[in-house]
Amino acid sequence: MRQYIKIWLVILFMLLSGARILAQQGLFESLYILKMTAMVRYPAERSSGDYIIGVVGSPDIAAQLDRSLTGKKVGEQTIKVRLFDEISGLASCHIIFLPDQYSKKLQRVLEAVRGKSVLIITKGAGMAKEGSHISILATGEKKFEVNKKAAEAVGLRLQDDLLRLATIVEGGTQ
Amino acid sequence: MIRYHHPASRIYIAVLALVLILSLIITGEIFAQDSSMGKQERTLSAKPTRKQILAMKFEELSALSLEEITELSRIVGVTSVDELLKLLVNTASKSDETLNDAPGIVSVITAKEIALFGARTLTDVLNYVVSVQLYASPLFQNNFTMRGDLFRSLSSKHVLILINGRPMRESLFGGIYAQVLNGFPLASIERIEVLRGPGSVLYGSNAFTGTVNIITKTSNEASVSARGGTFGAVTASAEAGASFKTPLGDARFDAGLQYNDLPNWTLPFRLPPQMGRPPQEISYNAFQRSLSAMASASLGGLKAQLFVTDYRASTFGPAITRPPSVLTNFTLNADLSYTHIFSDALQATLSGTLNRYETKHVERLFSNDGLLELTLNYKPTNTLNILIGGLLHSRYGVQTFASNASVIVPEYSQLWWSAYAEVHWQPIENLKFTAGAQLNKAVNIDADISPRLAVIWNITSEFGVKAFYGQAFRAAVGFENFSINQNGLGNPRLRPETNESLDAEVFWEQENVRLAAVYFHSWQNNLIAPRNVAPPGQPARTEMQNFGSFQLEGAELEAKYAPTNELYILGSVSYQTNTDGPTLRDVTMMPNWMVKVGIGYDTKNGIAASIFNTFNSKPNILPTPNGTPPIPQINPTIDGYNLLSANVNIDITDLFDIVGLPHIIINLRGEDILSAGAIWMPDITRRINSIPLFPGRGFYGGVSVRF
Repeated sequence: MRQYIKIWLVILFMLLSGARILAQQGLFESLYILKMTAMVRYPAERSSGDYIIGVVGSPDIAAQLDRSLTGKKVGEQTIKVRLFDEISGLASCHIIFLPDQYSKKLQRVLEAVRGKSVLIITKGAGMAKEGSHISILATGEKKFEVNKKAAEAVGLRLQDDLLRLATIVEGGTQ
Repeated sequence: MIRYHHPASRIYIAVLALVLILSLIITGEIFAQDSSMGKQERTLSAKPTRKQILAMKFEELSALSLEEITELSRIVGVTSVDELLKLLVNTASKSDETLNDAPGIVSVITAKEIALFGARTLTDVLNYVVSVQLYASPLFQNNFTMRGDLFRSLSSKHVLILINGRPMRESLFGGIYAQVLNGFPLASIERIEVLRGPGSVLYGSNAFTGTVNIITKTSNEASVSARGGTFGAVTASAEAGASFKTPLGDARFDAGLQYNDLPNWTLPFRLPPQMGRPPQEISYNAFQRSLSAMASASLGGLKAQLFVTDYRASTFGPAITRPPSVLTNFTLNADLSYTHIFSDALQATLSGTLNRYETKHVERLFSNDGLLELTLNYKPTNTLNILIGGLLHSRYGVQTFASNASVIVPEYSQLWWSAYAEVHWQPIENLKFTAGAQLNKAVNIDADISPRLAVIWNITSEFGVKAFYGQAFRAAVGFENFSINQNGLGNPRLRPETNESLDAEVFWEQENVRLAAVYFHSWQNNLIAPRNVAPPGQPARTEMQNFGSFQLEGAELEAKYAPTNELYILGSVSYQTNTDGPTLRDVTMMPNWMVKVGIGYDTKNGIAASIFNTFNSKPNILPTPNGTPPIPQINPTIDGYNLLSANVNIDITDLFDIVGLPHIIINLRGEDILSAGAIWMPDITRRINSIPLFPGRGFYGGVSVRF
């Protein structure tokens, strides 16, 4: 019995010693977001200056996106990745990526960018129905959920190439 | 000079030229092939392996189209963390939500974990779950319970199995799951959600101490596999799925098939003395065989599913009084559901479920349960979700002796009904309240209400607490209501057994780790059991009555941890103690302690290896009451045990980077590696000291092909 308690204590120690996320984890999120930059049309007033991709909450994922995307071009605009611990300042972004562990903040994010042409990308089923514009799914035949109406309501036009790969849903604050 | 004009020289030159031309042609073709292959790799016109994809640079990947990238992500699979920890579950509230938001104590085992740890049957899978205990009874070799709750039950009466949320309900005996545990096609499983604690508000009777929801796969892949090994064990399975367009909308179909055979587990066993006959040693062949199929189809809002199994196993019958015989079971669970979405806020689902069970041994048990259920889900605001449902339950059953058809339980046919409502309210972002109740009405007794309350507070994005108060019930089954057997006459006025439970959970979650600690305390009342009664003016008899009560208390610690993308650790510790009165503790003969640890390593290059160990402490064996004969100690004595398994999967296609072939996976597995012989557990009927539970050390190997 003591031996098993020791094994368990070792596991607990490992758990509490903190965990590091792998660089690989955000690989496909980075690729999706990069491809989506070319699949969304913004109103003319958003076509100058830097192209800001905001990540809410997760420094690990922000770092991965920063390594992969910063410096790349969207038309004439240069991508910059920023980490947001707070909701304020999000309206300056072109894309906001909300990792799944911060999905509870979606309504506050929507509130913070209400009426602004900001593409909101989330992870997980059901998030697009809650008001995000695109949600990346972990499993299933379709890889994305897209809330086309919500995107169009803030002046964003999503290309058919994206819509073809997605389940179109409605819902959320528009 | 002359030499240049010599015919032989011409021939020589011609041959050289020919060789040179041929060489050029061949070389050119080789170059062309190389070029073509290089182009093929760059354009990914062939399906690359997982290893090749992970070796690609970001720049190469980003040059592909979004569609190609999504295809590659499917080959790579989502990361360990996403797949193993970041899941949506729906058992606790019938809505998709994260584990942290679910109003229930929920554990999940995914298809990935099933493959990594190499489970062969659903029994193996449930063994991975915290607090789940596997047990054998004289009647059924496979049963399970949770939190040590096993009170005089030959079958799994205090737990309920759902398939995609639809209940497997058997109203004659209750909790006959041996055939499901042995036969359910594992290749069809996407994940298994295990809800610990009361679940009756949403799922009615039998969701008492726990509920297991088997969620099946929707996948366009197909696979076939075969395994064999010690004890003559053979397992074969196949699974496939497809989606297609029809004039009526998108449709899909998925199906899985599994055959299990364990023919040669034979061990010495001593039958108890009876009527002056001394203990008799026999060679007991504890065989099991099942053939099962699971199929599901959908068209728009219409969903249909079917689970059938044909099961055959050895049994001692309800009491170990005679040599073992053969038990057969045929189970059919079919469901047809239609969901209509009225608006973003309102949807309704109408489900019709048929459960047909036929079990034969010395007795023949037949039951046919039909359920018609309407569920309305109304979400008027983002902070409020209301679930309302109503259910009609048609119960039919009959039990006879198989040899002469004399009746044990006369034919019965009843209609019960129930209604439930549950409200989920999230007034602020990180606080959620749940309140609900089920009203159920059985024939002959007053309506009964089971309520529940829950509060979930996500204190930070990583840390939160949950607290629950809930009640559950188990309605009396046919033989308890109507049996004419003199050993336990039926009683039509039995009230449901009740379970009142308090649960509290603290959880902590980061990107690649989830840790949860749970405390539970439950009070069970109105337990149904045979009792000697002597009403005034009537002869003394043994009759089913509500008279038992019982308490369970304990704690559970559960962790899932992916320290790297290759390494994965799953572990739990649980402790339970129980009492049926002021003096008797640990009356259920279940272990107080269980420690489960699994460690898996997936190289991502085609090799994945794992070990999983379950430790069960020695159960408490109650002394026999004064005046009753002692339990014959004639079979092996009971002790705590370890159940250690090791598993290796070698994906030949990934390992050797073979392009264009389906995945060919070799599986090698060792079970009960530490046990030279069988593992025994107490006989819950207390007619003998022990009965066999697991066969002991065995080695298995096989191949699967995934298309």
